[in-house]
Parts: sequence; C-alpha cells; structure tokens
Amino acid sequence: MAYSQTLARRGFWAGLSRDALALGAMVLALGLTIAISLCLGSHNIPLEETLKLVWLKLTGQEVDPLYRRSEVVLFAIRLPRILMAFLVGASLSLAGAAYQALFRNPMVSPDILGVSSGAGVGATLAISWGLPTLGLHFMAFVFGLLAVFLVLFVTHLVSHGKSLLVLILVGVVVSALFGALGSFVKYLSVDDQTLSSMVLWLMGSFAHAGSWPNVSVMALAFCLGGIPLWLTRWRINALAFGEEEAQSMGVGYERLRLVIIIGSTLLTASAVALCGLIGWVGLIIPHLSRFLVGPNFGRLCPAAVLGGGLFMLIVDSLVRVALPGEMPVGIVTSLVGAPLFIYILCLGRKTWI
Amino acid sequence: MDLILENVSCGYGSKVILAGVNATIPQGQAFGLLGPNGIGKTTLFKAILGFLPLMAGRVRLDSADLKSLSRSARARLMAYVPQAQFTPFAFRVLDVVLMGRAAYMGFWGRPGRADLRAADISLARMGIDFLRERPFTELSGGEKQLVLIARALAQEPRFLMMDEPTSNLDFGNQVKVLKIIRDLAKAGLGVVLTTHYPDHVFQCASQAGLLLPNGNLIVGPYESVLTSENLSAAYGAPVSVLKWPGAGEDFRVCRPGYF
Repeated sequence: MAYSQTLARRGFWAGLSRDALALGAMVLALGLTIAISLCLGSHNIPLEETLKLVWLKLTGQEVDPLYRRSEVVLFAIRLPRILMAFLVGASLSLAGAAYQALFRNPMVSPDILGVSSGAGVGATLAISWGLPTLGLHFMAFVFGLLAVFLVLFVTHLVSHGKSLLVLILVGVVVSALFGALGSFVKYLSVDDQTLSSMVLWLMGSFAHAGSWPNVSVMALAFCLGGIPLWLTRWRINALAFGEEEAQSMGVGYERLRLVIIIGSTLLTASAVALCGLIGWVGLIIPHLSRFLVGPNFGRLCPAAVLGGGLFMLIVDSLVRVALPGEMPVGIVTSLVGAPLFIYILCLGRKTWI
Repeated sequence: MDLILENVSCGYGSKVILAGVNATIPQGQAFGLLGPNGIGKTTLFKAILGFLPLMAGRVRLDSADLKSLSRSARARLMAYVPQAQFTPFAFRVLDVVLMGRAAYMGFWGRPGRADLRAADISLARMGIDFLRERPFTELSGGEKQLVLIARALAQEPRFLMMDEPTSNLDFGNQVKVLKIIRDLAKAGLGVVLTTHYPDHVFQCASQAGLLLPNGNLIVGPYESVLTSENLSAAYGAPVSVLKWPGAGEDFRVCRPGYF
C-alpha cells in the first residue's frame, strides 16, 4: 500500500499546513491586539514602556518608582481585563461550536438554546438573594443546564429530535420563557440599587469583572469545560451524521452528549455569571472558524477559542478606548453580530441550507 | 460467521410490527430484504442494528448475542451504510471515512497511522481516492453513497447492513453500487441490503428475504423466494419472473404482469 501511504502523508500535511497557517495568523493577531490593548486607554502608555514593564515583571525585577502609575494600570487593571475578555470570548465561542456539532445544527448557539438566558435567571436570582460569588456561579450553571434539558425534552416531545428547525424554535421559546422569568425576578427586587446593578450587569460588561480573582475563576471554568471537549474532539466529529450512525460506528452517544452538554454549559454559565449576557459570539465565531479551518473539531476547537477570544478582545478594547463612558460590551456584540451573521448567511448559503 | 435472527419481534413502543422472524445469513453472501411499503423492513433493519430494542428473540453473530456485546465490539463486527445522508457540515471525505475507525479507539482516543491507512485502503477499494480531500457536502448522491460504503469498510466488519443502497441513485450509479455489493460478498463479507427492486436482488445477492403482507418472512436462495407467485402475493400486483436465456450464470428479471 505504498501508494496509499504517500497519498496519506501528502494529503495529511497539505491539509494541516493550511489550517496551521490560519491558526498561526490568529495567534499573531491575538498577540498584536493584546499589545495594542495594553498600551491604550484613558492613560496611554508608550509601547516601549509597556514592553519594558512586562519584561521587568516577567524577570521579577524591581520597577522604577517613576513608572508606578503605569505599572498599576497595566497589571492591576488592563491585563486582567484583557485576559477576562479573551477567556469569556473563547468560552462562548467554544461552547457554541460544541453545541453546533452535537445538534448537527449550525444555527444553534448558547443564546438560541436558552443556556444564556437560563444562566442569566440563575445569576439574577443569586444576586437578589445576596448569594456569594460561588453561589452565583452555581445558580447560573444549574439554570443553564435546566434550560438545555428543557429544550432537549420539548424537542423530543415534538419531533423526537429529528428536526433541526424544531430545536431552534423550542430554543427561542425557552429563551423567551427564561427571559420573562428574569424580568419577573427583576420586578420583584425591592431597591433600585440592586435593580440597576442587575440590569447593567445583564447587558454584559468587563468593566467590573476584570479582577485577578475573577480571571482565575474564569480560567478554571475554561479548563474544566474546555479540556473534556478538546479530549473528545475526534469523537465529536462522528456525531455529524446523527445518533444512529454514531452508535453504529461504536461511539457511545449518550456519554459523549453528556460530556458536551455539561462542558459547554459550564463554559457559558461561567461567562454569564461573571460578565452578564454577551450575545452572538457563540453563533458567529464558530461559523467564521468553520470557514477558515473546516468542521473537523480537532482544528475547529482551537480556531473557535482563538477567534472568540480575539473577537471579544477587539470589541472590548474598542468599547474601552474609542467609546465615551463604559458602554456594555454586550450591546456592541449584538450591534456588530446581527449584520455580520446576515452576511455569513449569504456567504454560506450553498454549504448547508 | 453467521448472522442469526432467532424468533425476533420488533416494533415501536408497545406496537409490534413484525413477530417471530427467523433467518440465518452467512458471511460471504449478499442477502436482499424485500417487502411492500410500511410492512416493517426498516423496523427489522433497525432492530438488527440495535437502534431499536428487540421485543422478543435474539440477534446473534454465531454464538454471541449482539445485545451482550459492547457498542464498539458490535461496530467491529457489523457496519451500517445509511442512505446518502444529510449533514450540515462540510467534512472532508477522508474525515468522514476516518469516523469509521471510532470502534478501534478509546473514548478519548483519536486516529493514528494505522487508522489513516485503513481509511485510505477503503477509499482505494471503492475507487474514490481522488475524492479524499473534497468536502462531503459537495459530492453527488452516487459519490456520497460510495464514501459511506468506504466508511463502513473502514470499520473492518464481517457484516454490512445497507439501507436501500440504490435509492436516490441514477441508473449508472445503481449498476456500480450493485456490482460493488456483489464483489464485497464474493470477497467474504456478509451483506444485508433492503431494496424496493427485486431486480436489484437478482443482480447482486444470492439470498433473499421477502416480507409478505401478513408479516411472514420467507427466506432462502433467491430462486426459491423471489418467484412469480411470491412476488405477486407480496406486492399485490401481478409480476412474472423470467430467466434470462443464454449461457453463463443464472440471471433473472422481473416483468410486470400486464405485458
């Protein structure tokens, strides 16, 4: 089988190098964006100064008191916020990519499945009860899971899970239901202070979330949710043809489904718990990533992580630097996301509609 | 190795669709399953594959009850070729064929060199090496069917279960796929296929099963099962089976009764 072996080698590397190029370009863009984002803000820091401070920090040297202010801005304010934006964008995008693979439906995302609004309700409840951060996370996760399982259950009742359209419709309905529940909780909250903090927080923002403790919580959630998805990346591909075919190929469908749902819901819920509702990222970035590297999850996974993080970081930097005040980033992702998605629909029409 | 259906009853929920089905399908032969619409061909097929729980009876491979085998052990013995399927994602053909190797990997595993080679061998066996890097979604119906057969072969099974492998194909692709089925059986694989056309069974299979409207299954060599009388009774339309004149292998065709 010498022929097939040479074919194998050439084909395999040819495919890999093209995708590696795409991923490499994304890493590069990410590095650049981080550098620019570190420098700019209400207190601009020259690039040399930023690089020098980062170098001093990395090598553990003493910082000249002259640069104290820049040091605080860089390492106590900007860097954690940048990391937070990256992690949240990456989490939402990876969760979206995984849900889309599981449901074989490129129209599905954490928002459309109701996970985001479910997690939002959980978090709102936690705030109104005055629960600590851990309780808030827990409530967001539980309500997020509740929303997915409700969507799955109703879809099964209606169409035995065979119809891609029914899944989306049920997701929209469940989202609306949880949205109403969220409003109800807000309505019940007595004092205006809590209410306005809830509303503002639900709009999605990194302005208050970017602290080191929050970043470490988000990083932990990203690992807990993301690593199982990465490890099963190859099996996830086998879901592309549906449950029966996956079974006939020896894939344990139920277990894989559970891994994907729990992992993705954890990613989404943690993002919502820390930064509020940030829509569209989980729908658009997996789409764009598939355009770049194809649907093979082994490549889609890193592409979605890098792309989601990059997108979120760019949007948050724009919000921070270019817009007056602190506009919630969720508003901007929706403003950018909706037209972008329509453009993608036009582009991708022939591949899956 | 034989695929043995022992007193199989199957259906959906509590509704029995077929009861008491018995058949033995040896490896190295193709078995064509025929029957009128809605009689339960697909149900029986899904029950054999384990997609539907059996309501009674057993499906065995030699002495091993399929129910007692793990999912991956079962996938190494029996592969499924669905009708050319819809998938929303433009997977590379090679990636689709590699999915057939899942049964040889652990839950966290991924394909290695040997799996890649197995995938290439089955692509070559179907004569579609040239499609290797193409997106599956852009293939024609016939090409998709060949890719799905290649994926099933990559499982290195003893039995292939093919669900209406010739439906949705143009005439040329039907001939091609029937020839492939015949060759696979000759090469030692057991093939079970469902079809709406007795002619297709004549062209690729040596064994046949015919589901009658009363739910009985007649099984045996096609010359004794697919007779004019049986086919007319099964489909409720007059049919005569003609033996092709001339030398060589036994070859039959169906002719509608109004001619």
